[in-house]
Amino acid sequence: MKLSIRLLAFVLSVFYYSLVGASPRIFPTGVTLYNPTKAYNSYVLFAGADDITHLIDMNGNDVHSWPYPGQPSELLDPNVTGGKLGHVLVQLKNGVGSFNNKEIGEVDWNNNIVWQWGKQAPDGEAQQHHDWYRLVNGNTLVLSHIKSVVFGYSNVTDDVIYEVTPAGSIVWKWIASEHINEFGISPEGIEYLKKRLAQSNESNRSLDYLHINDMHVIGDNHWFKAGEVRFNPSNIVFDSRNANFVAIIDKQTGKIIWRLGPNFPDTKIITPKDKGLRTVDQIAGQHDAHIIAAGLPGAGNLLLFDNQGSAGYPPVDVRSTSRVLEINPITLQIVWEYKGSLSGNSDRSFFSSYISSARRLPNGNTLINEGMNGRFFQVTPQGEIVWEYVSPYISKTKEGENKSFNNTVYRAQPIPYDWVPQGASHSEVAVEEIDVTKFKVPNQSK
Amino acid sequence: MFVVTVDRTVSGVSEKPIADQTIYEVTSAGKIVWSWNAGDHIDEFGINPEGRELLRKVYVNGGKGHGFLTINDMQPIGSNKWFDGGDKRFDPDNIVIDSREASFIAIIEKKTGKIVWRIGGDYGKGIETNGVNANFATSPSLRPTLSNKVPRPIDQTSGQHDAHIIPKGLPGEGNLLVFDNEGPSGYPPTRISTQHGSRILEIDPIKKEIVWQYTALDSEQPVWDFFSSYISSARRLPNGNTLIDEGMNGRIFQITAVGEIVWEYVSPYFTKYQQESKSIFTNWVFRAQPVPYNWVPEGTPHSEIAVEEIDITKFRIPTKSK
Repeated sequence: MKLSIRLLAFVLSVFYYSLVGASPRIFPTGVTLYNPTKAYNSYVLFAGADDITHLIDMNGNDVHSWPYPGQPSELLDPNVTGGKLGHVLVQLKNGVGSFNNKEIGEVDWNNNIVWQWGKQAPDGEAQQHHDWYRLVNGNTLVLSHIKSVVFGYSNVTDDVIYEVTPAGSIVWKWIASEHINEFGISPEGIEYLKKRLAQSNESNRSLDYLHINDMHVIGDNHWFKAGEVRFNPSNIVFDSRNANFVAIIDKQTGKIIWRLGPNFPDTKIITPKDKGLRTVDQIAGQHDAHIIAAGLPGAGNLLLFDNQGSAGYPPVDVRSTSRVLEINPITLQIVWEYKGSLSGNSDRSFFSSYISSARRLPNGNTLINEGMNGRFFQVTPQGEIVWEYVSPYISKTKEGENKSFNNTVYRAQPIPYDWVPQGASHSEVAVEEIDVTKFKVPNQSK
Repeated sequence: MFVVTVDRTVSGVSEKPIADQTIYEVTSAGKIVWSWNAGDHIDEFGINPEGRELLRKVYVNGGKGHGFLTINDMQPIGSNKWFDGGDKRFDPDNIVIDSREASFIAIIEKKTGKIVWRIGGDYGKGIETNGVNANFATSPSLRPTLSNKVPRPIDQTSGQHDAHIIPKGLPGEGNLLVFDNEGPSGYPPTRISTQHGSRILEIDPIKKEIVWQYTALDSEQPVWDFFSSYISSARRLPNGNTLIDEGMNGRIFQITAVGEIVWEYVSPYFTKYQQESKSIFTNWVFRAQPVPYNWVPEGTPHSEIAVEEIDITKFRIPTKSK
């Protein structure tokens, strides 16, 4: 009896029509749905399209903000700040274009810059993009750009990871192009890439050939404890959007010791009728690949946002629907998958061709950022949406650009309440599901 | 006149019956007086050898569905200035069709059944055309989706819908108006930019030039804010505006010639259907037809109360605590 009531409750709860997709011009922003009982209640940190770093609570209140953008903005775990609360990594000084980031730094709760890096970087600029990682020893891993020669073509935009000390010196470095033969790109793909490099050279453009868009230290995990040395906690997982692969770097040797993609078994991107686990099929343009931290449900599995945005050498066929995949990194099987249909919507209602993120929460929910629509939501393992938020922070038109407004968000980070100074307020008032078929913009005739 | 799907063996594609499409002209008494089979004209659709090879691979063992070409619209041209000027290809009785799967738009000569005009499927530019927007110059696969200079030669459409000749008397009459979904499609598949959206294209069918277009950029939105990978429609209105149905989102809106959104509607009518064994809710709309007031019986009410643009950054769902 109890079970059937629960089942009924579940069936009812998934009849939730998403309010947003590719948006109409007019759409509600802020928190659109919130079930405090089922949600993991926390803050969320993100850099808005307004280039301000916002810390919001579950009701979307802007609890705290920092006047800096970040790709991403990241609030530091007190474990790596010596217990200091509410410190963020942000971009302090940007040049023209989002990748010409001159200075990065750590800013405290009261906006004091407590660490910065840029002038000591090669060429005097941080050139940081897409990610960073504060280590327990106080050093910071910084993902940056440099120019390299790749397959004989000069002036190619290459990815480099620096380990930078608090004093600003580089104590470890990994350059992607030195490992190009370890990425599994097929001979056909290499030919395609060379063609692209040649075209870019001819038109005086610098091809961002890998577009590495995340970099995380693996951290403690049960694989390593069981003797799987590839999963040494200090090793680094990253993904390449443009080449469709995820890989682990051996911190000691720099070698790629584990890889997912870029070549996948030729299965269709649809859920098979059988319930058995299946091997990962083609991912495309993915983001935020990381190993779920010890202590969280799914610990040790790889979680990623598979954008299904155009990418690949050569380009793969994509569908205009995104998915979030939880993958067993040993068997390479999908153990959990989120698509729009898991919430009772069309698969097409969940799509971000680029940016975006996915993070596992302590109660088993997943916080998903559908970046290009500035939409964050929390789903239960069964796909019930228990919290949804649409960023109300709109971009400012920069000089020389076409006037346009968007609320895109690169990444959304869940922040436990106790990671920020005491006294910071938070609200947990339910936002009940409304009937979208009766939800109207008010008539405002004069 | 209507399009049906029929299982036929299409020579050169498959040895087994596949979903082909037929147009019937049916009298009011129900008699078929004219018919046309798409599969009989497979060599006239501009599918390149690589595409033909792929078609064969996909359909070697037969195949059902909406049609191997998915012809998704069909309209007689109607009276037009090109025919008046002597261009027989634009005989008012001739029929415009487009194929979603093979990304071509064509005119069927009613008398002979032959294709007398066509753009696509292979636009002949290959996949490597560089984008014009420097922001996207690093993407591995680029197509000129974001190009906004007009007039310019036609470029690759992908999965388009509702291709038709703008009727006489409307602004742009004689031009071809089409909703270019930029949805995955093509034999071989066309490559779509990482950041992409749908487009409305108005094409001069003689010069084969794009003379007007709409993307979300024209409404000061990111290009992906206007996107429907399938279904959808676009119709020119008497005042020069265009009524667009962004079908997969059930969003119907009217834009001016310069892209200002002056009316917007989101369908509140949902349906439930099965997708991969799951129940899905969607408010999709295949096509939206503008209907003049005087096409319906007198006395049918209509309301015209302004809905002013609201500040979405402050537009909230009400909080309701128990």
